[in-house]
Amino acid sequence: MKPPDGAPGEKSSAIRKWGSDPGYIARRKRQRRLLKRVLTAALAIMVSTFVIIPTMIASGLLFGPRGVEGVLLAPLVLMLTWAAILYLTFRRRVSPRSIVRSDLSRLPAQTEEWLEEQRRLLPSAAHTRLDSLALRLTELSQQVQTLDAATPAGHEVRRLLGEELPELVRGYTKVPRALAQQPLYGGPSPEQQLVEGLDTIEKQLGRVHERLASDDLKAFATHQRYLELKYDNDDEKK
Amino acid sequence: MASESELVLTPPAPIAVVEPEKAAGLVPLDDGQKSKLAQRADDFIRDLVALDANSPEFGRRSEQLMHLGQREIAEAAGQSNRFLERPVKAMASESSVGNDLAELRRTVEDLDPGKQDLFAKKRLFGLVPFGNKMRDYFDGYKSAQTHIGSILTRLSSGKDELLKDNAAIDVERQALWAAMQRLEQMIHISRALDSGLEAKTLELEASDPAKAKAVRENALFAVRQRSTDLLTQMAVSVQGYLALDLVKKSNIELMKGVDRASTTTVAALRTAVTVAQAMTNQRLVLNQITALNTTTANIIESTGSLLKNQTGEIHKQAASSTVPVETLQRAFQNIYQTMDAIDAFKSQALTSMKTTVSVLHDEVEKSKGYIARAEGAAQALAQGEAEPFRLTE
Repeated sequence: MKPPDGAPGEKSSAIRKWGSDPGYIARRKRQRRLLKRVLTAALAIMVSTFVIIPTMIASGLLFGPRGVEGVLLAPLVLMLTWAAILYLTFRRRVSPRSIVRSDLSRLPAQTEEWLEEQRRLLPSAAHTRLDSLALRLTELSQQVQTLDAATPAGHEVRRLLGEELPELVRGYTKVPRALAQQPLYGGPSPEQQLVEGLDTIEKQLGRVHERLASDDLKAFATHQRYLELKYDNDDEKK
Repeated sequence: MASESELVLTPPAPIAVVEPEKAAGLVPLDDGQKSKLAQRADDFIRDLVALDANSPEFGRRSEQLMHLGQREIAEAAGQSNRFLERPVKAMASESSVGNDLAELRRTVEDLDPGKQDLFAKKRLFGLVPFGNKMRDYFDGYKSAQTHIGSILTRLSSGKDELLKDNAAIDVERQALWAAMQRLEQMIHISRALDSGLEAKTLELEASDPAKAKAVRENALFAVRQRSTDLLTQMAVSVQGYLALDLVKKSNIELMKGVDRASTTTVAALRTAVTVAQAMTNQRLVLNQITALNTTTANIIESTGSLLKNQTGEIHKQAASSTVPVETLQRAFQNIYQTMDAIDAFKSQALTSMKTTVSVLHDEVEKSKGYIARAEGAAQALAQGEAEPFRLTE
């Protein structure tokens, strides 16, 4: 029998689906997210257009024509609606504050989205770390669905994703660009520190992931052992 | 039936306290691992001593020693709550099996031929001879059989629970063993660091007393503190490991008892069928017996064959014996003996388990102080400290 906890062969469905290159997976996810937003916006614009124009025509027929006013008003209303739709679809939705307040079950997804938005502010050296972090967050978001927020593990996930990770990233973005690559007091530069910090958090997330999985792994191993004890009983096994 | 061996259930002895000093070395490490760990300790000491004792790097390095084995301790400590749960849970599940056994005993006692005078003539209003007491007695079996059947089914599912418990214990023990192996490795490193640093300070004493002092007060002090923590956690884990074994053994004994109680009960019912035939020429049809037989034989492979042999003997004895009622009484005696053995076992096992739980509880409490210290180290670790002694999995 294999050791019950921390089996390294454990792979998320994301990995199974897209191979194991985090960069590729992250890129695919970004593209999909963008595509989804574009499609949503296009759909919303189409629907609103097909609602507004007939409504205006109908109101013109019912209450009498509005003349020049109506001719000006119609495109104005349409434009405003489109602008509102575009704003709502593409606006920045997550901020560290909204992450902290969100439910534990939505926390990994929110953090992932926020991290994606921060990407352009961070150095390219950190990008591969961001990709693997995104992968970890995807793995974790499935596990936290059933996790009780009041458990120590729940607290840990919240602290890591809601506070510590955003603080690391925000702390870096405050550092002046010119100083980011200079060694600090003879030690590593802020950029290196950011990469190391992201690395530490990613590893810790990996451990949390393993710990959360270990109960399921143990339950599974226990059942297999039970079947063995009950039906496969050579005496020396008992 | 007389050939049936006496049921002996041995309660496991309670687990004694494992002293921290004796906890090391209980989990074996192979020589390759040992030399690799010693090498890492040596490298660390060499690097540390090469540094200027006043540099921040020296401070950082000695601080790393404060976190020595911190993750291993946290991991093992996380499991210690589980060891405490396990015996407590075992005591609870024993009581559910115990209730079923007690109910079985009450039901069986009502059928005990020794409790009633089967040969007395039954009289209407105490005067008019009416009916046959023996016949009435055997009729009692018919009404009791469903009840006995359901108790036996419950007992067999109780036995399944015990088996599941043991399966969980096996898995738990495997995880614990892995954690203990990692703890042992850290203990090995800490010992190598301890002796290495000590030798180094003695060596430096003459050439560079200031550095010797710094090494002794920072690095050596930290290593010794961590060694104590590691050993304490190891002692608790070893004790928990043994306690899990105790629960497992006592579950196995209890399962034996349940098996035997089921077998003897079914045997008594079968005897009754045969005796009824011989004594009253009454065909006592216990249609559940066959069903019970199959269930019981299925769950008790070890005693299933015993049951088959018994059946042949019962027939022979009941048919040839001049006093078949005695055969029946003996069958009941067997049930009582089994249940008495189980009761005696249970009370002893419970004492063992309670002692073990309280000892374990004390030890876990003691180690919690150390764990709190380790937690403090964990906070420092979260702030981005590197660990020089990470065990590679």
